[in-house]
Amino acid sequence: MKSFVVARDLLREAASRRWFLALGLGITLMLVVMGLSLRMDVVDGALAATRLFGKSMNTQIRAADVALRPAFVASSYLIFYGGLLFGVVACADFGPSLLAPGRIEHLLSLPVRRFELVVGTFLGVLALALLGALYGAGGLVLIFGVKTGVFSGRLIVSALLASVTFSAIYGAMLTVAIAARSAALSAASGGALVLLGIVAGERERIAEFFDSGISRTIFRGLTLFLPRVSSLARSAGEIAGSEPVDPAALTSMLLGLVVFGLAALSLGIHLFERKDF
Amino acid sequence: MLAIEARGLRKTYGGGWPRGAGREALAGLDLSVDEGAAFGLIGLNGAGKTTFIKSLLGVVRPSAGVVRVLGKDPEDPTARAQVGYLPERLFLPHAFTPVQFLASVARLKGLPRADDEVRRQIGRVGLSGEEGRRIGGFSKGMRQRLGLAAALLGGPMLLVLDEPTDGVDPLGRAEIRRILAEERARGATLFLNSHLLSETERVCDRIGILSGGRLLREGPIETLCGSETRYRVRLAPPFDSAALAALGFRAGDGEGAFVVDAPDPTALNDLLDQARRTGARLVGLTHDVRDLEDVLAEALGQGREQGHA
Amino acid sequence: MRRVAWLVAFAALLGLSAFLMSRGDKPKKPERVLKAEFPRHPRDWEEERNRKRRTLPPAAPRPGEDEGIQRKRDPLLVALPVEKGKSSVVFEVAALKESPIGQIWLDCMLEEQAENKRRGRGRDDFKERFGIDLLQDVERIAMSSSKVAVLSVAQGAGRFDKSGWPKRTFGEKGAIWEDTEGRSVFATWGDELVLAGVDVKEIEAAIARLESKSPPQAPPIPDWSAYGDIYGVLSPEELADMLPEEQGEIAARIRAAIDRVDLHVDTSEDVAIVADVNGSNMDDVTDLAKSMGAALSLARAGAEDQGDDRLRELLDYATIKPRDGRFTVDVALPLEVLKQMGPCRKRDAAPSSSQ
Repeated sequence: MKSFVVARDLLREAASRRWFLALGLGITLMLVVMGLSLRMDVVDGALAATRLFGKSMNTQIRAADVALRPAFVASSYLIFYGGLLFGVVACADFGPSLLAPGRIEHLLSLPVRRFELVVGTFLGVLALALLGALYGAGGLVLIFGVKTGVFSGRLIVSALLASVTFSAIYGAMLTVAIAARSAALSAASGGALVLLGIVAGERERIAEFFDSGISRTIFRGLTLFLPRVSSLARSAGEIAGSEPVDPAALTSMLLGLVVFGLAALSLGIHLFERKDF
Repeated sequence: MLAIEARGLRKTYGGGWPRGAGREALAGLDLSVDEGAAFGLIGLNGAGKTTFIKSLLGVVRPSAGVVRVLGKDPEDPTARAQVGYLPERLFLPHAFTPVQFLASVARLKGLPRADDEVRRQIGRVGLSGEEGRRIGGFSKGMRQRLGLAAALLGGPMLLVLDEPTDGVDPLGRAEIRRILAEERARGATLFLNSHLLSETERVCDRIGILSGGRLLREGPIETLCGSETRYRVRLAPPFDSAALAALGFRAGDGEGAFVVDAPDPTALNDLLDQARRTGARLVGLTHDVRDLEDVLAEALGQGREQGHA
Repeated sequence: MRRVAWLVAFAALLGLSAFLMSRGDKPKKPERVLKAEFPRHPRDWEEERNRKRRTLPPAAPRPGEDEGIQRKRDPLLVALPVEKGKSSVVFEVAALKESPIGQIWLDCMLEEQAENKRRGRGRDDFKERFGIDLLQDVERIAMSSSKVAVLSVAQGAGRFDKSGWPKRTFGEKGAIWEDTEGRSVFATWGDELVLAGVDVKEIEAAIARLESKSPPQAPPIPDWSAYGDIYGVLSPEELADMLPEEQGEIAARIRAAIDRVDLHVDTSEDVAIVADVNGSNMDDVTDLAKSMGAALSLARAGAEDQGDDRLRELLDYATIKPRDGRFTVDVALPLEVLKQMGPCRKRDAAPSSSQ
């Protein structure tokens, strides 16, 4: 499928961008620094002492997996919200770049269907998000695993959840980019969607603050179609922290999120199909 | 078979409620280009040339009319698979090397195992030795050559080239003309849009003049630029201008330059004999062929007159 | 149709996504966050309370002690046996009674009272026999592993009576009752303390300490350690004896490395327990801390393997914090878990077993 070629080119292009070089370098540096400077003293599965740069970090002796939970939860939230914000800013230009004069005409002159270009760009960003999340979360899991003997894939699952969330938001960003051909507008729409999604994730609780009636109905109606960003972040944190999650609710939310991304992509393709360049 | 066929092609940008009528880029264009031809489209800025080219590639959807490329709808990817296109301002990904870029284009064109083809085209456009360099460091001329290589990948049957020699040095232009000649010899159709009328003149055998979204003139280059019955005559002084004028010699540009009309070679020789008899001595004789600039100016002038009428 | 196909897909998918996401919107039960306030030092009101409780005049200074620093003493703490290697624990009955877990257990106990009464036990029975309501009249209960219990009774010890048992006075304010078979001894001291035990000599010694008739000795629970709803001191030997056989190595290290364990329990929310473990050799204590951490970790892993979620959850809240040559063991017991462990457990379990 030609979309994979487009996605592959996007990844290659991303690899040369400063944003992503900085991200890759930052994650690598963080992992190397942690790997070299973090000392963890584990006795029969209990984390007896943790030293970062020689300075004692923990004052408790607990089972290593329990002791690591706060670190995993914090990492999960960092990856989720940090990844979303980074992705919104760093990926906003991919859409407009695809539509750049001199490039889009050339691409459209090739035997490629228009939707394949949109889908390819989306898949490229999805792959980028997955790779970034896997690299960061996988690196952390590996470092903590080697140092404590506790290898838990939960942080990786949590990071994958963050990637899927970002991909759905990027679907909407790409659609805005197609409509407006503007990286700034694309980023602004992504940022707005993250913020609104945080509100939507708490819609049941926030709805209680509205008077029952028209205002509450309007609020519920408006937030009904938004991805539940804060709910997903919480679920990601719960997964990372080995806390129980409601699998049915999470599955439904996740499926809804994927379908939201596809819906946004469909609108983007519709606009792209009708557009002259 | 026609390589390009356009009938009643119209394209209006914008428009609709609440923006009003919009801007008409193509106003019922009719054009046919035979397979194997080298066709040059010329016109002023805003004449609709680029819109027409984009219509050929499905980049722009016509508002009305029909356009066919190699007998197919340009929306059909199989039609575009046979087309090589060089845009006027090709955007090239800076981080890619020429090999990576062409390999990507080859994959999008559906060319399997195109490594050899990629390297062949790189060599053909004179970029051998630059395969490992990033495109970001290329000069404008090098980018243009790379764009041409991308258009040539896969041996397309129709080459649509928008300003192919823009930014290319004179020797490079000669190379590109050679490549285009090779392509024509292979059987490919050339469709050229260039502001460099001399380039168009050299490469193309048919010309179309576009203005206001309409085709003002179209035909073989000799027909548009040349005249079979008009000659430029150069005489060495002294000569009797009045006598020559009486014979039908009109003064041309420069000392001793005259223009004379003769329906056939016999009539031409008779006229020259009569001129010699008035004391004039012939030093030069050529067909009166105008350059494209004149033809374009003349066509646009007539077009305006028709428009006013 | 082809032109609007993607638009139709967009509308359909958006509707589907809204439906799916709203299914995940189920309002979650508010998470119950563990609310445990680990007692690490006396609060202001406890300091004030302790000050009021110190009604005994200072003991005569021991050799080398400055008379100026002598303070009044808490009679309940003074009455506790001072024998080395014994544990003593004080229960603040009034505070425990008002605590959430106290309320829960109290409710269960009251429900079971009728049944207990039939069997000749319970609070009413005790009141009937001794004239003291354990929940209303008793402020604190101190228990020692020397088999002595001291009840601090607010202005009610005078009501204590065990008619039929021989009674004799002892000291200035003491009265002692011994059963005829010599198995139980009760005593009162003034109007504020009731003492119970099995050995009359221990009771007499306690009264002698209260009346400063024996050489002054530091009480097993120092004044500064009287905070929390339950507090006391555990002897290393008795703590080691409490461990199961498979923890023999740790038990031996406890005996060798630990001097004393100060225990404090807070029940104002979830139950929080702090055990402050002290020893003279810093390295030994640190090693023991690691060993105990490892033991907890292994126990938790074992509970996880065996699917014992309750034990695993309890052990999740168990931490060991080494500091300055000693360490503290923090254990939090969530109310939800305690409900299943106290007197309510049997009642809750009964219907399910009968089903």
